[in-house]
Amino acid sequence: MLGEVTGLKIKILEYDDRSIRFLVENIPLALLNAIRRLTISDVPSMAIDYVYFIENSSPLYDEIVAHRLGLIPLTSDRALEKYGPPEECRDNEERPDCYARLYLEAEASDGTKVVYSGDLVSDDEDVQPVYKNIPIVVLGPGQKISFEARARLGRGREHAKWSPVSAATHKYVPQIIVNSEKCYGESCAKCVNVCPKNVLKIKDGRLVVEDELSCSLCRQCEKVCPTDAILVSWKPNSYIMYVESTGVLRPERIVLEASRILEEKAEQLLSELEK
Amino acid sequence: MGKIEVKKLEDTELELIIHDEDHTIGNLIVKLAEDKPGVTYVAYRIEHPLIPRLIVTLMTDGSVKALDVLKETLREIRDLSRQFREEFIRAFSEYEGKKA
Ligand code: SF4
Ligand code: SF4
Repeated sequence: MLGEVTGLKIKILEYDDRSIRFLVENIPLALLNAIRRLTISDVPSMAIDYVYFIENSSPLYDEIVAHRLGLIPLTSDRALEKYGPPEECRDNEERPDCYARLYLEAEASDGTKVVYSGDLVSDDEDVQPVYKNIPIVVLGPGQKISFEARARLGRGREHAKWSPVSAATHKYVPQIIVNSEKCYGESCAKCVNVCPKNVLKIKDGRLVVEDELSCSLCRQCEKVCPTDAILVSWKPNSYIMYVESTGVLRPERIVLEASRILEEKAEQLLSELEK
Repeated sequence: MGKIEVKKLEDTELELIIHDEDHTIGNLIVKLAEDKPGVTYVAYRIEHPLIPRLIVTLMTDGSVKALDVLKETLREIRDLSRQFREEFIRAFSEYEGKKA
């Protein structure tokens, strides 16, 4: 069904601090999908896993606060090299290279006070809250909260708080073919108006495909066309992958780690079979 | 990660339990192995979503050994992911170079 696929090629389409979009040509879909799934479930990142409360007279129970703390994204780019692997650090607080410590102490004197992720004080400058403005709890007058939290590397498959991505998708590469002989152009323009992604435009009275890659393959244009002048299809073995980081790791790092993990998994299974 | 337990090993039939793996590896093995010459049947199953083990079954028509097909598939996965990473690094530095 897949056939032989050779000549893998990648082109970066969009890239910023939080996300990356790239075109992959000549790759079996199953392989790209495995890499995509690994970005969600296996690429490690730091998250708070233990919280020791010294005082908590806030309206939230300890465990609710702890859960909220776990979900705060922590910068992990350098932590990946510094801290022990998830499998060895899980429930192993004795090991010195496993846990980063974050402290917080807050009190509302008069009036209420919102405690934010930015109030956490980390003992490691490489492990910091990505966003400073995530509310943790609202303290009423006279209420106090004080705790020590411990963060370690983990994987999304254990708990979603360790997943470094907020979105990881791939889609087919759209190809839209317009038969200009059948198309009425400006006097019709039905497809232009129906397209939810604004892919099609009328220019100089003629229909043009402006932004082919953002087409969602919904085929609404085909459906409304009175003369079957427009045809939506896709390229074989080519895909557009999109990875959006929660901010814990650079987006390109997530993709690289995922492919490295897949290589290691295959290598490790092979060596198991050799035994 | 991925300890393997062999349930059945014959020239034309193979059944393995792979611990701590899921659909990610299961689907990939099946999709890449199903087109290999000599393969008559290949499938994976996960008995229960809370039990982290993957069971892979592979059968051949006798022209190739089932174990050899599986090894070839794993080598293909290893090589393709390395190729993907190298190409990604190349494409990324090309993109960064253009921007600068
Ligand atoms: S398939 Fe949908 S998104 Fe793509 S061009 Fe047609 S209407 Fe627009
Ligand atoms: S709906 Fe069909 S005929 Fe009308 S502009 Fe689009 S392609 Fe042309």
